[in-house]
Amino acid sequence: MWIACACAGGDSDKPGPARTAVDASPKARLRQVSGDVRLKRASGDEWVTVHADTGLLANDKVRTLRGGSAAIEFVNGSVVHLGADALIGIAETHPPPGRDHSDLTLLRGDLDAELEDPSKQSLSVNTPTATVRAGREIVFQ
Amino acid sequence: MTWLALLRTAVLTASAAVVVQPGETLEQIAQRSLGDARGAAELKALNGLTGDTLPAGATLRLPGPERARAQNALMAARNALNQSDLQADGRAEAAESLGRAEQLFQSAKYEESAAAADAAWRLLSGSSARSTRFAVQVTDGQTKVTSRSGRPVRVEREGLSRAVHPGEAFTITEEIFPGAAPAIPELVSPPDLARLTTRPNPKGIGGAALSWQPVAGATRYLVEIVPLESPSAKPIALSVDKPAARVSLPVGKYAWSVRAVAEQGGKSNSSSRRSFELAVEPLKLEVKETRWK
Repeated sequence: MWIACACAGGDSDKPGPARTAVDASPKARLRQVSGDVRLKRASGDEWVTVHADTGLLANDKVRTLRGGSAAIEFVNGSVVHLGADALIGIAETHPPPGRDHSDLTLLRGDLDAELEDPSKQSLSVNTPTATVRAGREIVFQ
Repeated sequence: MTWLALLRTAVLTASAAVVVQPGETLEQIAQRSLGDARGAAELKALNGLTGDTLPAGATLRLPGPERARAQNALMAARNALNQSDLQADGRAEAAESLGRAEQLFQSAKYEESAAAADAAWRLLSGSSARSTRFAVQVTDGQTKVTSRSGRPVRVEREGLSRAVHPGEAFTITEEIFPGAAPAIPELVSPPDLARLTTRPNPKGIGGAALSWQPVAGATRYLVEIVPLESPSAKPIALSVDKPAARVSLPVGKYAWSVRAVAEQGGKSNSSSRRSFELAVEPLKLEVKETRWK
């Protein structure tokens, strides 16, 4: 599921040189970062400290450590708040034209999600045991 | 009146009426003029007809643009109802309002039909205006979902799903998925608008074989058959354990849909709705020649 490359990671928005099969457009952006929050690019192996306003690409992972928290805003406007000691992945999505859909994987910890306009937005949260869907997709799937 | 106004009146008059061709039935006229054979009942109501036979050359009035608006309103309401959760606030009221809208449409009361369909849609979409907030927590082998406000969220796994409504919390583990509902059945046969025939019999009863795709996790199916020609008649409800049902019905027109039921009782939303007509086969009379004079 995760695409791992041998190239170096970093906290910039620039895709690595080996990122050929990965969608390079940001899927989301870190809006607030508090405490120790780290990022592992899909194109890298290292966990690096991350700051607010960093763009997140498909297959990137974000981890909050003890006492850390973060707010992530997806391109469709849905917002996810990560609590302490959480691990998420930004999923690679290819929604049909006209659909604003965000997709993430929560592997550990807890998150609070908000869809400002659920008639237009949708968000899926995949976990090891289930998929949670909210918003437009429920009605029009 | 100017030439242009005269021409416009002539075009409007021509497009708002249809002339009956020799041997044409109401269904055929509805198909030709409205693009839908089910519109026969509407044409009948719109033109105040009492029988089904029409003299060639007769002119029938056609519905105006209000029909398309009613159709759109009905479609939006049907979609909202089909995809709504069974426990959704106002669902029963919305279903009743939609049923009334369908009847009004058949009676060619398009504006009233659109109003009733819009009312059904509003009942089901009332919570959509608010933002949706929910929380997800993953701990050892389990996921806890808490719906805080707005629309319900849906929890899914391997074809089963369950709605979590605002104010409700729900925990799913690797082994247990309580109250899960199966996927929505996909109808197979008969195709929409099928005409099924039965041999003439004194009671005017015929058989219809209905089938749909089996649904993973479903232990039985609930079939609902709605008589379309007698609005006061109650829908027929069946429970079967296979993805097929054979029913005996009086001749007439019917709409049908199916819901899947999981072992623990969770029910899927209704499938898409199809309709069919059950008609008596025309009698073939073969008269042999006789030597008697």
